[in-house]
Amino acid sequence: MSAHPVPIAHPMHELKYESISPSMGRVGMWAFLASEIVTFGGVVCSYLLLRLCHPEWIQHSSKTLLPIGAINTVVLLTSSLTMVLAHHSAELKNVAATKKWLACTLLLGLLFLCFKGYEYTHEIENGYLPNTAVFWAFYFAMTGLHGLHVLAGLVTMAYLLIAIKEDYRLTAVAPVGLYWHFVDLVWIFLFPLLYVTTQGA
Amino acid sequence: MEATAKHAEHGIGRYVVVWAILLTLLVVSLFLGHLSNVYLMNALVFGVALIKASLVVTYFMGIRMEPKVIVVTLIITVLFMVGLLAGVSPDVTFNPSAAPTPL
Repeated sequence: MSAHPVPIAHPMHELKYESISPSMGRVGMWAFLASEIVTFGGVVCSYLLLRLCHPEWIQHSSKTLLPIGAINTVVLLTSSLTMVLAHHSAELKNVAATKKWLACTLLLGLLFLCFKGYEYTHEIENGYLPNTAVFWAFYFAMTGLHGLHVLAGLVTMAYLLIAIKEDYRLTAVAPVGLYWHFVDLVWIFLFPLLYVTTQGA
Repeated sequence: MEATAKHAEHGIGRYVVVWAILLTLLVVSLFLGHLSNVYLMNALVFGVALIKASLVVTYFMGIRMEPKVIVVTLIITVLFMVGLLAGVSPDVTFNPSAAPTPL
């Protein structure tokens, strides 16, 4: 018996997802994440260097909402746990459990965006806009880019929730899980950069 | 079958323990944010962030089970990023008009 899944015949001669082995999906996602490291790394490094040059930014950076940032960190860390449980269930080919944990991750991701929306509203109402100061330009660029990644993850998970059937699309949970953990990973660094180390003013 | 179920339970338990450690480290970093020595505070807070990141990469992303080529590719990417940062940092470190200050 071949180790690789047999491609499924299709009227349009397209290769369906089942022809791609799980490891190929993971390798593709790792390659994508490597490019994402450079994307986020570039903006974070630029922020770090400029921040070191501009001590006066503390006037702006101390205005970020630490409690909301901390709650959002708990939400994202918990969503990483539910995602890894979804992946675990998918490995065991337990469709019901996979869907249950994916739905939990989806809800936690939505909760994260709700808190972020509240935070943005609070900041904009207080006059902190991307053109207020360079700090706020970085803040909105970094958290906005991260928020877009969260949104993309949520759309993918919503699709998976609909598409997953017995032995169908279960292999897609692993690469989507990798992506979601990366989103969590980025936040692990954004949180101290924008919230924790800025409160000492 | 029973062995598989036990293995599955063991795996879930490990994930929950890692999640609990991550939450504990979050609380630790919040306390560290109140240190009066800002240099020490920055170093410790980012140190904790690095520990949290390595836990996520190791246990949630399962990097240990990936082929070496993936690990090497990711390490090279991170090194490039650090190299770029180091390459432009002299402007901050040696420019008297832009002396480094605590974050």
